[in-house]
Amino acid sequence: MHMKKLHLILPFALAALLPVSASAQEAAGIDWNRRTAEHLLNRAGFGASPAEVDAAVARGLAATVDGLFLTADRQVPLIAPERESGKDGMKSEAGERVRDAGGKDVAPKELLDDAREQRGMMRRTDRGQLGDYTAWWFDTMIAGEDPLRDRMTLFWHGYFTSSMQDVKSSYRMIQQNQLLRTGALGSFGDLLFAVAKDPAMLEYLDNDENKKGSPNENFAREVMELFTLGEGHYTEDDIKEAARAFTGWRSKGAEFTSSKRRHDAGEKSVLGVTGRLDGEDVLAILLNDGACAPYVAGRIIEYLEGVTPTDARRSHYAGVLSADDFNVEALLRELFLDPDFYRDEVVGSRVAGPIDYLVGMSRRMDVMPPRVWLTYGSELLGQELFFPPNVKGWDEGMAWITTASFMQRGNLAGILLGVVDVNDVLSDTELDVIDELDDMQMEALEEQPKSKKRGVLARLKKIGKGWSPSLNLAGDMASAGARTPAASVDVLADMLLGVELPADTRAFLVGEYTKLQATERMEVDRPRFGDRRRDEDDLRNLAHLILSLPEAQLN
Amino acid sequence: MKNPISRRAFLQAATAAGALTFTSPLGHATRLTWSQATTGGSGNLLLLQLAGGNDGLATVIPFGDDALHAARPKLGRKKSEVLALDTYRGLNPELVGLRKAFDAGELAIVEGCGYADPNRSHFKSMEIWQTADHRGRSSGDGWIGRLSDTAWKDAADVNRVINVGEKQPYSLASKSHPSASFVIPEGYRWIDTEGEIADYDKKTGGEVGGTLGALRRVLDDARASSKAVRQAVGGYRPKAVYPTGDLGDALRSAAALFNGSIGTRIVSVVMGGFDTHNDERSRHDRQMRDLDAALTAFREDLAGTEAGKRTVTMAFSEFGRRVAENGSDGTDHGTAGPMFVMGASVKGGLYGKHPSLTKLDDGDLVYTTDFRSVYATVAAAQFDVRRDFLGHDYGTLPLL
Repeated sequence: MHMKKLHLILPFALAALLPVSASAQEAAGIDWNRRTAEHLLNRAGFGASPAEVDAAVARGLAATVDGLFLTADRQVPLIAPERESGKDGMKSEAGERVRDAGGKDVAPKELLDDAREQRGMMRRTDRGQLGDYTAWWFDTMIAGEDPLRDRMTLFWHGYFTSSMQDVKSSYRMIQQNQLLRTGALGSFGDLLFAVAKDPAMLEYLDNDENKKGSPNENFAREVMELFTLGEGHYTEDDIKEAARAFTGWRSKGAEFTSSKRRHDAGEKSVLGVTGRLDGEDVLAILLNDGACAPYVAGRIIEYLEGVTPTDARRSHYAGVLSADDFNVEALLRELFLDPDFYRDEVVGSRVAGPIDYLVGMSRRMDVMPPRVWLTYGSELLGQELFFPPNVKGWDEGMAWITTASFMQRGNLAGILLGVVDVNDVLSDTELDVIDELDDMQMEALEEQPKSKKRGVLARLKKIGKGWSPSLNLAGDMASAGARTPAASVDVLADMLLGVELPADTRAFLVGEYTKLQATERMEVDRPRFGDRRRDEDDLRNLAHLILSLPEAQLN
Repeated sequence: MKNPISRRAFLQAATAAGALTFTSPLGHATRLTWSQATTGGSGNLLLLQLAGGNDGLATVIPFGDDALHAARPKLGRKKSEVLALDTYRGLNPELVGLRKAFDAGELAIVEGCGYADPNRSHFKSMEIWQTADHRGRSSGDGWIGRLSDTAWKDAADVNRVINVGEKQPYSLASKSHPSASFVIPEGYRWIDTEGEIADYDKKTGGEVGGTLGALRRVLDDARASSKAVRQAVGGYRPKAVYPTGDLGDALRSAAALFNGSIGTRIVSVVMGGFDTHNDERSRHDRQMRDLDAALTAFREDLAGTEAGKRTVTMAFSEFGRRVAENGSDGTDHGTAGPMFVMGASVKGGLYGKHPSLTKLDDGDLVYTTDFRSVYATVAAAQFDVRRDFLGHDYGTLPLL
């Protein structure tokens, strides 16, 4: 099994390969303009302000693509995760005393209560630490200094999934995220080997409980189905044999170890290769299997284009991957210079996921939103960072859009713009149906049960207090020279949308804005902006409407 | 029907009266044309998806089978530890409320449900259950979508099939019968922009295809369901106390929708957390406890009501689990498992046949009942469709 030597984990400094000059292959057949530039910035990052789009157009395609692959010394510094909580950190001191007292069946009640309280406190500290890290991740995406790495880190988070739900350790989750971030643009093989031994993954797919004599197949199955080959390219026997090969892998204090005692050293046969295989051997077999490169290439292309690639396209990019030791950067460089990446079927027709929607809006308006708006907002829309729904990650595309999530997107935009009073979400939501309710129903309204989602809404209420975005849309219109409703709609839509405005929508918006301006100020029942000018109020309401439309869900 | 006056309702009424062929500005003619008669029977369905692969052998436990204890020395349960139904099998001890339903003759347990050539991937197998087709999603719509085509032809109504949850399960996928989706009724509307969104719906259109067209259709659906759902669910006063948590909330909403007057016939709810590769005993018991508490509240809430007479609950999972326990006190992906069908109109009891624990296929149970025969049974009884509506006659069971 000499091949595995090629894929030993390299120091990550080496993973940042020498950039191939994009200018050498200055792409023919790509009309580089504001539309295509915005498309690239949407997909290779999380959207751009009009000024950033203009700058990219001026820079040219090749230079813009080159700029996406930052050198190591320009990488965003990683925050140092604290180890002080969670199951890999400090032991509960009260828990020790329970053990000393002979275990939970005989320990006195006060001791058990203490232990429970300490466990709860540690859990809260752990969640708090993950919350801080999540906020850092959001900040990074919004700042957009390393957009492609941000984009691919999110991709890998949905590819090599692990969830805090099962891992229950912020330290492990953060370590995994940094692993994905560091290796996001490097060799897929390196990433696969590192993730397979990553403590969060060992826990998430139970490989740390996989031992000789009674193997656990969870990781062995998913590594074939979702990480390397895809369904249909292996047999049930391959899974059973691979599970045996992975026996003995463990994590101790959140570090990878391998236990000889728990390892099944016998002969196994996986995908036609027979020998006394261990876990690394299996990973090397999978990586070198003919189905792996097309699978990985297909997943990346589908994520970035929003369209399932044709077999020919998949196999072309599989070739690009395998020709360069599974170097993801090589694939991405070629893709971003490929005229097909800019075809009509692709540009502006991908549904923005919740992170795309929230981060993209913040970037385009240049607003740093309150932390809870990002964390609870993304949870409300179905994409909670560090909590992917299952091992397959998030379903992309129209799966993001339900009747409910569609409406909530608009409401979240209104909250960020400061035009929706968050209290309306809860207390006044039934106002327009209330006259049709009887007394019994009114009472029922006040006795709503408490669920997680209601909790999320309630927490969102917090940001209503005192939040006011530092926006000056009226000033933006003035400096853009927009003096007519049509001109204002154009400037605002260009700022807020990741796609071009269709003619019928433009006509509608011009009509609405004209109406808005004609409305008597008297109708506004509360002062929303203190002494701000009326124009600002109108423009924010127009922005709220634009961000609620189908066009704003595209990128 | 006490629908709010939406454009959809208006168009439906207009076309019903005038038998017009209507093409909406949004270009989805079939969704707005009204077929004359009230087809589709009068029953309701709560479709409960247990996601992750529910361990059937820890749900309906064959305690009387020596092979169970041989294969599961740690996870197997003795007679004294289960709610025995007879000398062979018993319910998981947490399923106290379901045991009462069984004793009341309102719970049918169909054993050994599965399909030929089983797939042990969560996602592929779930697709097979959701489409009732071995090809999964590539075969087209979900099975509820196909049921809707048969039962309601081209008379679409977004409030008829409702998903209570964040993501719409593929069972509901349909090209011609969209369904509403919500988690909680609060905020199920466009705050401050409702009127403008309505204008947008009217003023934009033409034959827009692609993603924009699809999004515009969802916008139209959202408008059509927003007020109706908030009325039905926001003001609902249940007769039973639902357990705290997402499942309890979801079933409370389901009861509200079935009791309401917005024409809801099918509600889909997903309960996750069944992928018990390790530490199965305590994790699975907790799942059973939550499931039992929510279903019991749902049953009590609907008891004696008109909706209660009409509503049937069907629970399924993408697969059962391996007969032998694994090395981490859990079980790996397997094949066949039991389905539950519950309701006042159900003829309770045991159906199908418990799969053999000794005649295994590579360590896994061999299914005895095609799950599609249970679908066909429920669909025929509740929605007045032919039992071969899935394109093939899988037979029916006498449980309804």
